Amino acid sequence: MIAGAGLNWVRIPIAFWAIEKYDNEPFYAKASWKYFLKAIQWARKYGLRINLDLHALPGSQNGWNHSGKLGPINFLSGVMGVANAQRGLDYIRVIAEFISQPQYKDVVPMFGIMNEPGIGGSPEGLAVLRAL
Amino acid sequence: MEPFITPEYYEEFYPDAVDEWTLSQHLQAKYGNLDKIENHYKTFIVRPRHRLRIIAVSPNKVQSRPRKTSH
Repeated sequence: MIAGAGLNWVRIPIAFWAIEKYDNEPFYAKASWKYFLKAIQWARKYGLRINLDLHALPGSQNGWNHSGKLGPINFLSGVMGVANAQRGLDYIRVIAEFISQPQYKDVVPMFGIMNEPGIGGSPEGLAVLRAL
Repeated sequence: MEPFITPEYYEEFYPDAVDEWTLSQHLQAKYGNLDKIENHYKTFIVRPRHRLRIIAVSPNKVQSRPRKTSH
Protein backbone atom coordinates (compact mmCIF):
# COMPACT_ATOMS: atom_id res chain seq x y z
CA MET A 1 0.00 0.00 0.00
CA ILE A 2 2.89 2.33 0.75
CA ALA A 3 4.49 1.60 -2.59
CA GLY A 4 1.10 1.81 -4.30
CA ALA A 5 0.66 5.32 -2.95
CA GLY A 6 3.84 6.34 -4.72
CA LEU A 7 5.98 6.57 -1.61
CA ASN A 8 9.47 5.14 -1.76
CA TRP A 9 10.99 5.56 1.69
CA VAL A 10 9.97 4.44 5.15
CA ARG A 11 11.49 5.65 8.39
CA ILE A 12 11.76 2.82 10.88
CA PRO A 13 12.46 3.64 14.51
CA ILE A 14 14.43 1.15 16.54
CA ALA A 15 15.49 1.10 20.19
CA PHE A 16 18.86 0.08 21.60
CA TRP A 17 17.22 -2.89 23.32
CA ALA A 18 16.62 -4.41 19.91
CA ILE A 19 20.28 -5.41 20.37
CA GLU A 20 20.55 -6.02 24.10
CA LYS A 21 19.67 -4.63 27.50
CA TYR A 22 21.31 -4.55 30.89
CA ASP A 23 19.87 -6.52 33.78
CA ASN A 24 18.55 -3.43 35.54
CA GLU A 25 16.52 -2.40 32.50
CA PRO A 26 12.95 -3.71 32.19
CA PHE A 27 12.78 -3.64 28.39
CA TYR A 28 11.74 -6.50 26.12
CA ALA A 29 15.16 -7.09 24.63
CA LYS A 30 16.18 -8.55 21.28
CA ALA A 31 12.59 -8.97 20.12
CA SER A 32 12.15 -6.13 17.65
CA TRP A 33 15.26 -7.05 15.67
CA LYS A 34 13.54 -9.90 13.86
CA TYR A 35 10.74 -7.56 12.80
CA PHE A 36 13.32 -5.14 11.51
CA LEU A 37 14.73 -7.98 9.40
CA LYS A 38 11.22 -8.67 8.17
CA ALA A 39 10.83 -5.00 7.27
CA ILE A 40 14.01 -5.21 5.22
CA GLN A 41 12.57 -8.16 3.31
CA TRP A 42 9.31 -6.34 2.64
CA ALA A 43 11.07 -3.14 1.66
CA ARG A 44 13.18 -5.06 -0.81
CA LYS A 45 10.16 -6.81 -2.22
CA TYR A 46 8.13 -3.66 -2.70
CA GLY A 47 10.95 -1.40 -3.80
CA LEU A 48 11.07 0.77 -0.69
CA ARG A 49 14.13 2.13 1.03
CA ILE A 50 14.58 2.38 4.77
CA ASN A 51 15.74 5.32 6.80
CA LEU A 52 16.66 3.51 9.99
CA ASP A 53 16.20 5.69 13.04
CA LEU A 54 17.83 4.89 16.37
CA HIS A 55 15.09 6.37 18.49
CA ALA A 56 16.09 5.33 22.00
CA LEU A 57 19.62 5.33 23.42
CA PRO A 58 20.85 4.18 26.84
CA GLY A 59 20.05 6.62 29.60
CA SER A 60 17.62 8.51 27.36
CA GLN A 61 19.12 11.00 24.94
CA ASN A 62 16.29 13.51 25.33
CA GLY A 63 14.22 12.65 28.40
CA TRP A 64 11.05 12.21 26.37
CA ASN A 65 8.80 9.19 26.61
CA HIS A 66 9.69 7.99 23.11
CA SER A 67 13.33 7.62 24.16
CA GLY A 68 12.15 4.71 26.30
CA LYS A 69 12.41 6.59 29.56
CA LEU A 70 10.69 9.79 30.55
CA GLY A 71 12.63 12.08 32.87
CA PRO A 72 16.19 13.29 33.10
CA ILE A 73 18.69 13.02 30.25
CA ASN A 74 21.33 10.53 31.32
CA PHE A 75 23.18 10.55 28.04
CA LEU A 76 26.30 12.77 28.05
CA SER A 77 24.84 14.12 31.24
CA GLY A 78 24.77 12.89 34.80
CA VAL A 79 26.84 10.27 36.57
CA MET A 80 26.25 7.62 33.90
CA GLY A 81 26.26 10.08 31.03
CA VAL A 82 29.63 9.16 29.54
CA ALA A 83 29.13 5.44 30.12
CA ASN A 84 25.76 5.58 28.42
CA ALA A 85 27.19 7.55 25.51
CA GLN A 86 29.94 4.94 25.09
CA ARG A 87 27.31 2.23 25.16
CA GLY A 88 25.28 4.18 22.63
CA LEU A 89 28.28 4.43 20.32
CA ASP A 90 28.70 0.67 20.54
CA TYR A 91 25.11 0.14 19.45
CA ILE A 92 25.46 2.68 16.65
CA ARG A 93 28.50 0.73 15.47
CA VAL A 94 26.64 -2.60 15.62
CA ILE A 95 23.77 -1.23 13.54
CA ALA A 96 26.01 0.64 11.10
CA GLU A 97 28.09 -2.45 10.46
CA PHE A 98 24.99 -4.58 10.02
CA ILE A 99 23.30 -2.33 7.47
CA SER A 100 26.57 -1.77 5.60
CA GLN A 101 26.70 -5.40 4.54
CA PRO A 102 26.31 -5.90 0.80
CA GLN A 103 22.93 -7.63 1.12
CA TYR A 104 21.43 -4.76 3.13
CA LYS A 105 23.15 -1.56 2.13
CA ASP A 106 20.93 -0.85 -0.86
CA VAL A 107 17.75 -1.33 1.16
CA VAL A 108 18.94 0.63 4.22
CA PRO A 109 20.98 3.46 2.73
CA MET A 110 20.21 5.91 5.55
CA PHE A 111 20.80 5.70 9.30
CA GLY A 112 19.70 8.38 11.74
CA ILE A 113 22.09 7.61 14.58
CA MET A 114 20.24 9.48 17.31
CA ASN A 115 16.71 10.81 17.38
CA GLU A 116 16.31 14.30 18.77
CA PRO A 117 19.16 14.40 21.28
CA GLY A 118 18.69 16.94 24.04
CA ILE A 119 21.41 19.21 25.34
CA GLY A 120 19.65 20.78 28.29
CA GLY A 121 19.72 24.13 26.53
CA SER A 122 23.40 24.76 27.13
CA PRO A 123 26.09 25.67 24.56
CA GLU A 124 28.45 23.31 26.38
CA GLY A 125 25.98 20.49 25.88
CA LEU A 126 25.84 21.21 22.16
CA ALA A 127 29.63 21.21 21.93
CA VAL A 128 29.82 17.88 23.74
CA LEU A 129 27.13 16.39 21.52
CA ARG A 130 28.89 17.60 18.38
CA ALA A 131 32.15 16.16 19.62
CA LEU A 132 30.48 12.81 20.14
CA MET B 1 6.21 2.10 22.18
CA GLU B 2 5.03 5.63 22.55
CA PRO B 3 1.83 6.21 24.58
CA PHE B 4 0.65 8.60 21.87
CA ILE B 5 0.91 5.94 19.17
CA THR B 6 -0.17 2.84 21.12
CA PRO B 7 -2.49 4.08 23.89
CA GLU B 8 -4.30 0.74 23.96
CA TYR B 9 -1.30 -0.82 25.67
CA TYR B 10 -1.00 1.98 28.19
CA GLU B 11 -4.57 2.55 29.29
CA GLU B 12 -4.50 -0.62 31.38
CA PHE B 13 -1.89 1.01 33.62
CA TYR B 14 -3.02 4.59 33.42
CA PRO B 15 -1.65 6.86 34.79
CA ASP B 16 1.37 4.91 36.07
CA ALA B 17 2.88 3.72 32.81
CA VAL B 18 4.29 6.73 30.98
CA ASP B 19 6.99 5.26 28.76
CA GLU B 20 8.17 1.85 27.57
CA TRP B 21 10.29 1.52 30.72
CA THR B 22 7.34 1.74 33.09
CA LEU B 23 5.01 -0.09 30.69
CA SER B 24 7.42 -3.03 30.65
CA GLN B 25 7.64 -2.99 34.45
CA HIS B 26 3.87 -3.04 34.82
CA LEU B 27 3.37 -5.76 32.21
CA GLN B 28 6.04 -7.92 33.83
CA ALA B 29 4.54 -7.43 37.28
CA LYS B 30 1.01 -8.24 36.18
CA TYR B 31 1.55 -11.02 33.64
CA GLY B 32 5.04 -12.29 34.39
CA ASN B 33 6.03 -11.76 30.77
CA LEU B 34 6.17 -9.17 28.00
CA ASP B 35 4.04 -11.03 25.48
CA LYS B 36 1.92 -7.97 24.84
CA ILE B 37 4.93 -6.15 23.44
CA GLU B 38 5.64 -9.08 21.17
CA ASN B 39 2.03 -8.86 20.08
CA HIS B 40 2.48 -5.20 19.27
CA TYR B 41 5.48 -5.97 17.07
CA LYS B 42 3.56 -8.76 15.41
CA THR B 43 0.51 -6.73 14.54
CA PHE B 44 1.50 -3.08 14.20
CA ILE B 45 2.63 -3.42 10.62
CA VAL B 46 1.58 -6.36 8.51
CA ARG B 47 1.90 -7.14 4.86
CA PRO B 48 -1.38 -6.77 3.00
CA ARG B 49 -2.78 -10.15 2.00
CA HIS B 50 -4.18 -8.84 -1.22
CA ARG B 51 -1.84 -6.52 -2.93
CA LEU B 52 -3.31 -3.25 -4.09
CA ARG B 53 -6.71 -4.63 -4.98
CA ILE B 54 -8.48 -1.31 -4.89
CA ILE B 55 -5.82 0.48 -6.87
CA ALA B 56 -5.59 -2.34 -9.39
CA VAL B 57 -9.24 -2.11 -10.38
CA SER B 58 -10.74 1.11 -11.55
CA PRO B 59 -12.77 3.19 -9.08
CA ASN B 60 -15.78 2.77 -11.35
CA LYS B 61 -15.66 -0.92 -10.86
CA VAL B 62 -15.68 -0.48 -7.13
CA GLN B 63 -18.72 1.73 -7.42
CA SER B 64 -20.50 -0.51 -9.89
CA ARG B 65 -21.06 -3.20 -7.29
CA PRO B 66 -24.81 -3.54 -6.91
CA ARG B 67 -25.98 -1.79 -3.80
CA LYS B 68 -28.13 -3.67 -1.42
CA THR B 69 -31.31 -1.77 -1.08
CA SER B 70 -32.92 -3.94 1.54
CA HIS B 71 -32.10 -6.74 3.89
